[in-house]
Amino acid sequence: MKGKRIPVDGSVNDTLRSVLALLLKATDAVMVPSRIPSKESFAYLLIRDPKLLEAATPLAPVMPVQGARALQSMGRGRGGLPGILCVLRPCEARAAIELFKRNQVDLEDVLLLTIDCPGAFPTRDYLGNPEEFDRRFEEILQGKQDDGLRPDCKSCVGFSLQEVASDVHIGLLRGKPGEVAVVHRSDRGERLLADAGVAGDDGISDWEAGVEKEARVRTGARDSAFQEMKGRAAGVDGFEKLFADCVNCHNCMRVCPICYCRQCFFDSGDSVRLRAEDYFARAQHRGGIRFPGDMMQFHVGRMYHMALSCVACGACEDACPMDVPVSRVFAFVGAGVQEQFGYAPGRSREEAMPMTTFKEDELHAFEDAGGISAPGTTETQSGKSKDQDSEGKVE
Amino acid sequence: MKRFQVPGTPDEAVRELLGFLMEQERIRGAFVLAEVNPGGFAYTLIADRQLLGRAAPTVPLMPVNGGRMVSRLTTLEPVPEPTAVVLRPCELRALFELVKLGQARLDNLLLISCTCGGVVPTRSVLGGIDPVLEKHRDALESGVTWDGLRDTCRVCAEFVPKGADVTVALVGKDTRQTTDMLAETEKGERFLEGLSPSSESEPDTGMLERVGEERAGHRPAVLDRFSPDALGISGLISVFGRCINCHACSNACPVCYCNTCHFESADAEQKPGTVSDELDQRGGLRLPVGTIYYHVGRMLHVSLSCVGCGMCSDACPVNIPVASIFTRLAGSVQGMFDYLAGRDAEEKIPTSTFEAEELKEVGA
Repeated sequence: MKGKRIPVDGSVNDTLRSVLALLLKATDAVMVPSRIPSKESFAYLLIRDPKLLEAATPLAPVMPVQGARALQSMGRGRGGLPGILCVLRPCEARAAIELFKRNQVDLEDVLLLTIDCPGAFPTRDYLGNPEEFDRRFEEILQGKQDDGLRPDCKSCVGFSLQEVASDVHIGLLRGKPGEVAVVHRSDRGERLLADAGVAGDDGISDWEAGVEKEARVRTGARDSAFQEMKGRAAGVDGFEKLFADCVNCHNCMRVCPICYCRQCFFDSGDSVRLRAEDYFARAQHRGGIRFPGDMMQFHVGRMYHMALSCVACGACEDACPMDVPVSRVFAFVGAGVQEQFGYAPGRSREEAMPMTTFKEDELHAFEDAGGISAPGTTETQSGKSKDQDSEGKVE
Repeated sequence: MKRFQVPGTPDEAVRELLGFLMEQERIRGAFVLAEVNPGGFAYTLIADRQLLGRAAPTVPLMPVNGGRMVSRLTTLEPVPEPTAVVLRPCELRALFELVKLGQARLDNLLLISCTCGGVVPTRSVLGGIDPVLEKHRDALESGVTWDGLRDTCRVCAEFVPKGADVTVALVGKDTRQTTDMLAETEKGERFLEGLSPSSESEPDTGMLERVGEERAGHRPAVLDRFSPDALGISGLISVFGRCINCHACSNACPVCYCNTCHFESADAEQKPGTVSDELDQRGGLRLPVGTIYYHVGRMLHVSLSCVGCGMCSDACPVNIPVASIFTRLAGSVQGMFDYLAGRDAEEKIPTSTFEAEELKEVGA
């Protein structure tokens, strides 16, 4: 692989900002995380006026809104907008591609630019002390480890250009002095870089080796995170315990980039409500029922709907007011389901979602063993089941 | 007003009452907060007396607004047989607003409430509730608000329930040995008949007034910075600047009942060309679009029925003081119409009535 090596001038974000200024000249607008005026957080800005790039922070210490959601919010069929360059973390770009497959975003005029992702802090932690976390994030950009990052970030194996169909990627070479490496990953990306004057054919094998090395470390972290979750989520009891503090706010669904339904089934009013008499019949049958009764059904239903496309971005857990480890459960289950189908969300724009295709010969691991094996292990989990219906049990 | 002195702490006394009502077959079930898993509380509909041991009717928590949950129970039809519901005053007021909005029915409900010492932010008990319970009990007994409560609870003037059939006296009471329950309506008296030694009595209004004054004393510190003068448009933009557009405040709000919020509807989706028009005009824009617009729209929709329960702040993942902002605004808006959300289930919501003479302060 070849790319353009650019020495870091000032901070990493300063350098990325000057690269963006060049790219903005070759496109119509840039969507990039930016510091909000009160300085306490970050939001996506869609920028045409180069002066507005001043607040741009391509690598922000937090990810309060998943970039694919920001992209989706522009609506479809944007007519008259020639081209947008979206600056995204790899997990955000993967989600954007999954939304594209679902006809929820229009990528025709959009180019995706990904950057080697150092991870993000939990938003609430950051808001408690922005200056402190800014400082720590700068240290991370210098190569320091920080245990305060989101759990999903710490075990993320897709932090660079692995399995993400972006058009342009920027790698971070954390040497002294640091450099960034700009590489194209599609024909359109190649044209953009050429037009902007940031094309190059410098060797970047040192960066590739660095990514590989880091990926090995992260794979280890991911395996142990999954192993831990496998223990915690085992059986109906374990699963119930994980969600015990849920207050049913449905935030996890609202911030999930994949959960795109305008109206979730579980918010659909009468279809999830019972007649009072039926609530009583259930209460009588079990002694008592929890309200709302579809808390577990919501999580299991959501999992069923989006696990194949879950990019493990951690947005759900970040937005959970009750610190439920939503994202860690979903990432674990998602990886297992994706492995069954040999599917990787966001890896390619052309790869069809398994639910939309038919293969005569598949799912043997599941069907033959009677359970889904944990990703990366051969051991199967017993399919413990209990009599369940939509109303949660008090006992 | 009939006073019943029931042995035990408030939780024990309410359990005793509910058990008595079930035993006498005066109610078919009880709708009450309960400990559904160790340290975890949720609303439950309990039909079996044996499970009443799990009921925690006065635990200072509101994981969801109970009025919203009673709406869920009764949206399609009233409960078929007498059922006791135990709600805090603001939850009861939310229920009354929902009844007016056609989202709940009161038929067959025995309404039990309490003089309310407030609840704590739900997140604050994630590490365990015991430290909170002790502090809260001391504060209740002295009638003084403590700083662990939700902001809107610390300033709440409506802590004495209106429209309840039975009120459990919590605030300013020593409830270690016995708990007082007041039958406020004929219906309440009928249900409680034969419960335990009762006597005629009047509530200690002097004490309740003092508590009300103490809470009013906190209002300036909590609410004044959200007055229109103090906040202004720029302040509004700044306070919601960190909003991530998750709409949790709407989902947790008891009176925001729409199945599909306008701001999640097709109408709110960006039309082709709008984004590029904005880019032409301003050179840039924030995404997702309309974050502040959503909050202002919600204010317009709920401020008349806002009961100041604090659920919105509780559910906000980025700690925006949504509830204080809405409570401050609701005070002004409801004041303009001489209305108080939920004080009376029969009173009409001002937007559903016409008065020839009103709103002079906002129009020439």
